[in-house]
Amino acid sequence: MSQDTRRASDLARIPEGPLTRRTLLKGAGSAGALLLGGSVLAACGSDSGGAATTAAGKTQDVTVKFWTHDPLLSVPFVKQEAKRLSAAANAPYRYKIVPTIIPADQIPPKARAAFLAKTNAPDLPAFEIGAFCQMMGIADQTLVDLTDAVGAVRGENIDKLWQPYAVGDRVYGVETSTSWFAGYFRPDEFKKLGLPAPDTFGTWDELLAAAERAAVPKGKVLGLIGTNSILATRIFMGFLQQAGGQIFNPDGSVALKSQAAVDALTMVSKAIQSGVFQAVEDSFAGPGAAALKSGNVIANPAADWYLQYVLQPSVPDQRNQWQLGLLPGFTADGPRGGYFGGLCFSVAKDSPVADATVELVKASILTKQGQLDNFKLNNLNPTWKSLYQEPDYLAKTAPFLGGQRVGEVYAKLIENVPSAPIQSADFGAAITVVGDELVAAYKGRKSPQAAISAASSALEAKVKEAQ
Amino acid sequence: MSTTALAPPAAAPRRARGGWWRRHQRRLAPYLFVAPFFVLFCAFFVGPLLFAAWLSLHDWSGFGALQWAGTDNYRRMLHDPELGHAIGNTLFYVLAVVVVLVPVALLLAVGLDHPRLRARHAFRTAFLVPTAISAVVAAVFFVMVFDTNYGLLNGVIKGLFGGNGVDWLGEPWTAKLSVAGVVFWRWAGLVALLFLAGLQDISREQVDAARVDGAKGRQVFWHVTLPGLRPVTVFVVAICVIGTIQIFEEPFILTSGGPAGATRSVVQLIYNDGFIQGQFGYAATIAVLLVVATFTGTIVAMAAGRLRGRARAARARAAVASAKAAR
Repeated sequence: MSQDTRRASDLARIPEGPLTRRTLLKGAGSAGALLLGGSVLAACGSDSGGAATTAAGKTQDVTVKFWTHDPLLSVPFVKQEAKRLSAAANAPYRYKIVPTIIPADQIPPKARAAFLAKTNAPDLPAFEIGAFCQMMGIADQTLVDLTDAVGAVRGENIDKLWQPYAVGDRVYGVETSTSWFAGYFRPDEFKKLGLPAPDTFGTWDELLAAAERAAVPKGKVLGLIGTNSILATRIFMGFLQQAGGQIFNPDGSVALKSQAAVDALTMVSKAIQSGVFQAVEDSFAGPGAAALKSGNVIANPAADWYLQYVLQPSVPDQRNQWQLGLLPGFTADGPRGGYFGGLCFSVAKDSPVADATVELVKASILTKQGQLDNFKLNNLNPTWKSLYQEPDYLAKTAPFLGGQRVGEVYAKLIENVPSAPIQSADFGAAITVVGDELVAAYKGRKSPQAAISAASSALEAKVKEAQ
Repeated sequence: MSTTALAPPAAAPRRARGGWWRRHQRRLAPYLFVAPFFVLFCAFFVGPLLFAAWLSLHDWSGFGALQWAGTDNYRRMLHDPELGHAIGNTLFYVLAVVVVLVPVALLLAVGLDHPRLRARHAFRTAFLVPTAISAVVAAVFFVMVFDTNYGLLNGVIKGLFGGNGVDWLGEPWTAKLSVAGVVFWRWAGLVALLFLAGLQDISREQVDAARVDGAKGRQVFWHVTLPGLRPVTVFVVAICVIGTIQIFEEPFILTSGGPAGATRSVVQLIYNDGFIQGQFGYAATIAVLLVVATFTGTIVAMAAGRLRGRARAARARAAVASAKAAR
């Protein structure tokens, strides 16, 4: 036997180890297939919902998936109300709230995808007013009709605040609070400049003229206006509604070309160009915070939630230096404030806990207690007119504003209510086309009349295209 | 009597031992190895692409049944001024990246490759940090940097030169340049690193031979380094074109596509039309156009690189032939 042959036969006798390359590859392949198959099966599985059925008459444990863009205010409020309801005697449901925080404009497309896939869908989606337009075309297929729930108390609401979340005469969302647009200001700085408080001025023209003389030479600013197209449109809407105008008519046609729109844009453009207002890219984020920290901003027309979301976190060192006041009007007898934003609670139609969620919505927003709870917890104003005279409402103080009774300021707005926002499925288009023209007017590239005319024509073209 | 030895009968072909798999595994194994990628590629690219092409022939709000629209979406696309602006903006970004970013990254790579550079690892790490930062975070940061009144950039400009600064995000051309600037900041480091890998692959003997022949630094760069980097350059230009055609986060967060649509990219338009305005059919139409454009742009970039290489090779062969003829 040759050496080579002997070596080969020796090799043939060497037993194979337990782990050969082939075994390893087979094992890895099987493990991979198992993992992939398991993932695919899990992904194909549908939601089983969060309801545990117990004997009739007993309390049901329900898990409510709550989607919102607002972790600071709406999440604590919903959890508080859920706890209150669960603790009530003979409570039909015991709630567990599972919040998911998603940017406001992402909630409709994500909710739509989840409803379509019938998996991981929210039970209680909170839609910001500007984003709800994306749901209007499919509201009847995806959201619970809350018309009857709202109908019982509709007369209580301030001037049709339910309308932005309605499609035709059916209501699919309940407004959680009235986002009043009033004026935060620093009395100490106004005093140094020899200016009376903003709410003593009857009209915007008067305030702008006085501020141009006294504040602008000292580098002081009485308002921050965001200039990216989205913010520009949103902030402008506050002034537009105060002036009595709208972007859309109730039938969906464009209502922008109006004297009220020209007046509102003229005022804001004049204020920016004279230096009374300051244009910043984003008045609610970094640039706005930098402006506040500089100490040059001594007033700002803003929503009620501006206090918790922007003022307190950006300038905690300016505690007790700010106050809340009414805005001047566009006319001597016009409204002294407007609306800025809004947030509704809707209920998913196919949710396994839809009934329980509807009860939660009704108890938390469509009752006097729920509305006052929201104000006491979050400084968010009620949507019910009658509550503005409640002692609990009027007595609430804002520690950051030096203990000021903010309810007493907002209660005055009820006496002369501005026009409520009118919603449209084309609001998304409005944000871009209108915003661009507004910024052109702010920077003096177009006159307010030309900008409103161009914005109106562009928006009409977009609405026609969408039809 | 014939003494020719009979050739032994040909051995019968041996049937391979074992089953079907043993007989075919060598042939099938390569396909099995590429199968996982291919399955995922079909599931997450080819499938959605085919669906998008199908969707482009319909109107759909994202829910309910698809409504047949035929070629209406394509005809609308031909007359859509917003799409025209978005295409113009996207082409601007592509040109800016190819004409400015690629050469700048090459120069950075040459600097990083310099033998006398100290702390080269620290420089390389520093150049890679922007790539590791999320586009969203970068855009949010640069919103503050570019702010007209309180931004860092205008603070420096006002401090050095006085004046009121520049409205970086508020004027159409400065907004475009600002978006392009953020793209450069994010990707220059990674592209430089790709070039650096290519530079280190160039044979040192070639460089030394050129120097021995009397070539100066610039001549070595033009006639040895750049030709040696051709394959890397083609690859870099191709991925830059593909990536920039799909630009979205930077214009979306910095300017929301404004002012007046001056920075809106094609992908942003797809997002607006689809997810904001609920016109998924039309958005799918633009997406199909984008795929075709990306594919065409890549083919053109790679073909241009190959043609240039062939032209160089032909010139070199001609030079050698004429040198031989002269001898």
